[in-house]
Amino acid sequence: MTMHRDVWVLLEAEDKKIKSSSVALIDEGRRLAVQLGGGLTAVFLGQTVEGMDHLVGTHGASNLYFIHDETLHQYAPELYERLLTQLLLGKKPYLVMAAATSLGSDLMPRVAAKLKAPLVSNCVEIRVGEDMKFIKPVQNGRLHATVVCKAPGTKMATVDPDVLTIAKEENQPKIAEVTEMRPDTEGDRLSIRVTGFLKADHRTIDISEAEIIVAIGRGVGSEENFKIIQEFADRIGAAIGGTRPAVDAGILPFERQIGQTGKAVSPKLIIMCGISGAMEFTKGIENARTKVAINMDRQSRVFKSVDLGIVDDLNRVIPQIIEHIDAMADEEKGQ
Amino acid sequence: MEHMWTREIFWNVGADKKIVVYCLAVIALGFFSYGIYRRYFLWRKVSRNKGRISFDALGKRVRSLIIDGLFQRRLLREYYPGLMHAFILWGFFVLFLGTLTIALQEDITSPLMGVSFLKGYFYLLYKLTLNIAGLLAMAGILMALVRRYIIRPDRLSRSAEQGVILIWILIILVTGFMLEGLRIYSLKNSWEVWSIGGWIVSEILSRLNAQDFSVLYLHKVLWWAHLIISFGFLAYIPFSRLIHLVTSPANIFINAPTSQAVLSPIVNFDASGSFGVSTVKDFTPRQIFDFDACTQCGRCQDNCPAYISEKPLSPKKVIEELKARWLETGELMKEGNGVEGKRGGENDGLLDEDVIWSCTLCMACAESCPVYISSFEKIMELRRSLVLMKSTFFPEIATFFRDVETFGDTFGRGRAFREDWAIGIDVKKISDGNQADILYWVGCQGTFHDRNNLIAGTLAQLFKAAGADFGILGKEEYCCGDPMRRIGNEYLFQKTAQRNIELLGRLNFNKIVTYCPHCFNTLKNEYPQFGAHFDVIHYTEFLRDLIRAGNLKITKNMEKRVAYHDPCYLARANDIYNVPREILKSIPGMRLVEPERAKRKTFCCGAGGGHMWMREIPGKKMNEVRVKEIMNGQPEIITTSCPYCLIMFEDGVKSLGLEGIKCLDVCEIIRDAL
Ligand SMILES: Cc1cc2nc3c(=O)[nH]c(=O)nc-3n(C[C@H](O)[C@H](O)[C@H](O)COP(=O)(O)OP(=O)(O)OC[C@H]3O[C@@H](n4cnc5c(N)ncnc54)[C@H](O)[C@@H]3O)c2cc1C
Ligand code: SF4
Ligand code: SF4
Repeated sequence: MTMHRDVWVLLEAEDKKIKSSSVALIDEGRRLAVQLGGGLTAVFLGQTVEGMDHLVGTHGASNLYFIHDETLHQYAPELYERLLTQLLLGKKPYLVMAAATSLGSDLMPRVAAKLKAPLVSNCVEIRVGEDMKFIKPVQNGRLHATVVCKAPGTKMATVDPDVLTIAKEENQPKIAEVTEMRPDTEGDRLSIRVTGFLKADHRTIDISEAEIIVAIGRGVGSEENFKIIQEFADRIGAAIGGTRPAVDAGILPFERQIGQTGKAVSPKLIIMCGISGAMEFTKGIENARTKVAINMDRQSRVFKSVDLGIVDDLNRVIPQIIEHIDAMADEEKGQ
Repeated sequence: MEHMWTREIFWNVGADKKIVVYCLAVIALGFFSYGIYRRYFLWRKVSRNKGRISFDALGKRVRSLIIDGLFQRRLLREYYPGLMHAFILWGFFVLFLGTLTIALQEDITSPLMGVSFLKGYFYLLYKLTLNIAGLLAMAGILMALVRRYIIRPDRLSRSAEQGVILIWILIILVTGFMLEGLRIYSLKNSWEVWSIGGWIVSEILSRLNAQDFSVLYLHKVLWWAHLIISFGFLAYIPFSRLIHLVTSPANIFINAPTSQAVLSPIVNFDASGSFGVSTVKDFTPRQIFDFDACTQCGRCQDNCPAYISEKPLSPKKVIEELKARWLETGELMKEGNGVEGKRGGENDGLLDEDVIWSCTLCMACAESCPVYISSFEKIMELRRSLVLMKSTFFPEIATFFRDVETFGDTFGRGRAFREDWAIGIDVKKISDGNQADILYWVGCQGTFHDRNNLIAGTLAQLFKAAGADFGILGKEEYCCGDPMRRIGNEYLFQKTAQRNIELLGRLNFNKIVTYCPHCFNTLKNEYPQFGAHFDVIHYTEFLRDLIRAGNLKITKNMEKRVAYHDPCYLARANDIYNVPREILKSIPGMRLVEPERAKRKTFCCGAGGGHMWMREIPGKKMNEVRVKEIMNGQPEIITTSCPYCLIMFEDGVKSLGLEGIKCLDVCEIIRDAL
């Protein structure tokens, strides 16, 4: 039996541009399609994006299904689900991938359920072999599980956007063949409608969801010094969290405590100011990506496991960083 | 002459009135029995569980009844309230025996055998004893009135009923003495000076020059009044807090063999549909009986570290509130009303969650309760319901459960790191083919905490220095399960315990030595619930033996003031408090200073009952409260023998800004003294 071993990728747009995670996903799709010996197709639901066919083609997809309609300009779960399911039912690709963004994580399980297809969520690696192997973190990222899909038919996966990178190699400019589809959405009664978006405010966002965190400890000392920290956090759009002593001192509310008896955070960047790096604290930052510490004490334990350590008084360093950021901003304006 | 020393029992009233007296007695006893019967319904029927009073360990039950019931040992730990209560109890007890003696003579020996023994020297002794008893009881009542209305300690709840009871007893005593005084005044027998109280009254009467006729009349009136008031009192017992006269001793009898160090297991997770307590009906009859045995004395509250640290928990109020819910539910059930009490419903929660989570399971409440009530046992039941039935707990606890479930340790690190603490020490590993005399159970704290793992290492080095044949489980060691159990996750606890028991049962060793008192208590006292009986000792005991045997030799002088803090699960739960003191005292020059609360009365460090992984509940920080208390003795070193306590004190010393105070484990002091 010969099988189509085609790979499909779902694209998303933001600010009228295809998201970079989607572009990277096409690259990943191409890699897998080559190994599987099948073609690569992209599918996009939404509003026209300038130069889409060129972009998609250049990254290696030969086909693009573009489904557009007024009602699709914003993510409408039921509608997206119905349209994508219909399309996939007809084409029966071997593998369908989406980035594990909020849209991908919501839509793919819906479609998988309708297709009765296996779905592995939040993969960090996909391997082609006799059976497809999907590798994904479990237990809060402390372990990785390999999921093997033995079922015949379409397999689905969402991929952790953080591991998706746009391939460096030069691509030949190519144009994908675009199939435009205008669905009839008259009859759809939607129980879920997106009415708008609120931008997350770094000052009020839950620290466990923040991407950048400035964490403060006893070393910050006073409410007065805390003002500088706040200014700094505002400049870089960071949420403020801290150690238990910072909470005990009343500088931060309990919701902002990081650690064993507080919250576990997983920002892309955490800047620790005046924190000694006690075990009870570091328990909460195990999943932080890049760690920076500012501490006066060269011997401090906090420096044991950071990517960048600054040995200095935070009251000296932070104002300088703020100055620097402001200067850069002025420069940008000047240009 | 001697035969004259007696009295006519129905003097001035007439023996023909006896029948009236007995009718009144029957009425009073009728009320009493009815009251108890009504109560009995509430004790037994509110609970959906069947409870049965067991009579095993009878010796222990009777002993406790005598020591803590009759001799009031626990109450007398506090002098004023202790003596106050003991005076009233003993006084009344003797007066009651005195009345029984009269009944014995009048109704049995005299009519049946013609024997009257209340005469002569025996009569004088009898009178003296009863008078002293009456005076003591009166002193007790006066002390109680002063305490309740003048001293007004925080722990006493104020209610009119209690005032009424005290005054009522006072009236019984006063009328009793007056009757005696009136009789002595009329008969004018000089030997009646032995009836001290009555004699004083008669002396007053002679100063007043009272008329014989009015004295006789007054005696008659008072006699009946005294009788009616006394019988009324008897009838009132089951309808007031006086019911504790019945329930308190009964409760001591019922609870005497229960060990506070052990939580009762949930049996059969597959069969029963509901775990823990979500409505009062889920309590067992025994637990409900506890509510009625509580005398609201407030001793538990006075000793509760959570209450003292201004957390929203008072063990006394816990019992009071649950009692109210129970009575409410019971009354509604009696009326045949299906509706449950105000907060008795399934989903209402019997207590506020903050109250339930404030408890550190330190057992101080149960230790101090004169009538053997455990408040934390009830709190534990509510926790179990929150955790196992409603999945309601702090998110940090969810992380904690996941860590233990996935990695088998409370740090969420995993077996790969289990042996890291022992790098460079060269410790033998016990496995299927490899045995040792001692199994050194390190525990999660000793294994993973970056301060406590140094102590775990020190211990191993001391064992080696002493030439002990010991080994560890290494990667095979798992959490003992204590924190999960005391947070309320009985399921996870039992799973963990069974896994460990299976492993330990397979291996060859003679004794287990633990570093952590929590592991110690769990392995020693709780694993037997699952059929595993290991010989478990704490490292302090082991070190003591090694020092005694001369295998470890203390050579250095240490001129230091050292305060030893007793870990709850060592001292209170397992009576180990002299051992670490003996070790410390074997070091020349060391000055041991005792914190105010020590030994079995120790004060929790704040990390028990899962608080190591829980947010600080509003109030003062318990570890700071304790460190301040310890610092009253001005020690230079705070030492303890528990990894939890040690971290809490290091944290407390730091946050209080105490300079130069060291927190050390006992074994580190020994190491320095070798
Ligand atoms: C049961 C328990 C649970 C706990 N849970 C948590 C928890 O969930 N989260 C948590 O954070 N902690 C927790 N702790 C407390 C923890 O053990 C540490 O005490 C705490 O994290 C230390 O906080 P810190 O680093 O802010 O303060 P410190 O340890 O006092 O460190 C302050 C640091 O600031 C530096 N510093 C001082 N001044 C300056 C300056 N001007 N410029 C630069 N650096 C400076 C100092 O060199 C020092 O290293 C818990 C403790 C216990 C006992
Ligand atoms: S166990 Fe300790 S903390 Fe809990 S109620 Fe009793 S005394 Fe208070
Ligand atoms: S539970 Fe015990 S110690 Fe507490 S108030 Fe009641 S009788 Fe007193």
